Amino acid sequence: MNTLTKTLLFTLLSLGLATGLAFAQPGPAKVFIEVKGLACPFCVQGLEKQLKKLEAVEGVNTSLKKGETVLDLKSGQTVAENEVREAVKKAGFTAGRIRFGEGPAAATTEKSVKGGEK
Amino acid sequence: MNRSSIPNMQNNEPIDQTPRRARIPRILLGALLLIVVFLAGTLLMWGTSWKIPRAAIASSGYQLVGYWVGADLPGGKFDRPMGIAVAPTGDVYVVDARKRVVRWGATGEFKVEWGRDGKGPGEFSNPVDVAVAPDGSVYVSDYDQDRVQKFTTEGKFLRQFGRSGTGGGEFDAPAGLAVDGAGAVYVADFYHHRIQKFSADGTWQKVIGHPGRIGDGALHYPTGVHASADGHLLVADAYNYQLQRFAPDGRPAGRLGNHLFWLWPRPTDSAAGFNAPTGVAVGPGGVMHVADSGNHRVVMLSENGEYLAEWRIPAADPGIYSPTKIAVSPDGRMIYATDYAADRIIVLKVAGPPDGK
Repeated sequence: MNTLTKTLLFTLLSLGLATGLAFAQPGPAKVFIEVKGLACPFCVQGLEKQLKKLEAVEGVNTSLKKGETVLDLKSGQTVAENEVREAVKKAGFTAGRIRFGEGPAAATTEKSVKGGEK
Repeated sequence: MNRSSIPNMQNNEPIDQTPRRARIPRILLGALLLIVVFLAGTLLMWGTSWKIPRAAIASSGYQLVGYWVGADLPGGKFDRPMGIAVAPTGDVYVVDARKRVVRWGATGEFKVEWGRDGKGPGEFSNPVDVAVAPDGSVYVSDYDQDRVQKFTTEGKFLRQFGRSGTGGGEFDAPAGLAVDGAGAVYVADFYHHRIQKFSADGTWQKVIGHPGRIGDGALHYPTGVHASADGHLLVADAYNYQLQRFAPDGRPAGRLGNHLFWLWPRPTDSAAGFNAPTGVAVGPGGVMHVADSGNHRVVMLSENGEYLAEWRIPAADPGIYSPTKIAVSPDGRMIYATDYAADRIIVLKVAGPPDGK
């Protein structure tokens, strides 16, 4: 393979990669927080109230069954793990494992969390 | 043997002549004494203080009438209902996660609903409780916005009071509401562990109770409050696992089911003690109805605090505390409780005398 062919192949691969990145549509950035001891609706809402105060947070949804709170982040924004832990602590809880990822909007997970429409 | 390995020979300190065998029983005796004192204290508290005495004669009980799921509501079925109140006319008000207030007639016929997402008049972020004044006006507390809004029976906005903060007239999560006979409004200020009193025009008047775990007047995450016509209060002191009474001047006037559960693991199937009582309502004759959310039941107590009856949610979700709030009809015959976990209202009938006697 001569230099010209290598250059051409590299350019094509780069272009393909760039196009892929440009047209990819990842779900909204999310933060999954494990919170133990959630059972009381007032406590859950206190927790969500603290988390909603974080600048980067668009939406919050808590699953009492899973003991997990999911944050939807605003487009292009991030939140530091220690900020999340501090907010959980302010609400009177201790955050367990915190995982950053992507997925469907938290609002769509609510009913599955609550066992479906009755 | 090296001299340095015998320290008492170097500094002439007296050597404990007590034989080792004699010292061990003394330590064991001390430990045993501590254990006995601890167990005695535990038994004392478990055996007496926290238990609600049973009434010698209880002729009243609960009968399930049914569940309201709100299938015919214009804004959709109930979604995590929290606050509930009964008007002097018998109409029932409910607030839920759809950021709205719903009003029905006593027999379950839908009348009106209002509210939407937002921070303006008539808008909510998280309405958690509702109360009705003697003149029929309706108060709604917003957990996230730290304010209380007042409406007419048809949902016309009248005024608002409260904001975020720690001072008088400021809240952090107003979880419970009540109105007395003079129209004064009482707010259970959840994260500040206190009750705040306002006049009917929304002017702040005083703080009732203080943060704490032990003793009269100490509140720990209060979630609900009932005000009698003359201003006596009954507070659901949820995370002290008890109910507290306050006189109209704000002085503590006794506790019900008080104990130190928070020092020990709480029984999840207690027959008598409360586990996070989050809502209270009082009917004719002073009969109390308690939403004992951690035990998934409604409890009826006499005016003197004696246990009369209970009703448990069948196959309750153990992972969610529910029922949350409770209300009683003016004649004391009907009980309405919000079942947050199952998106519905529990409707119970008081069988037997409504005053429990």
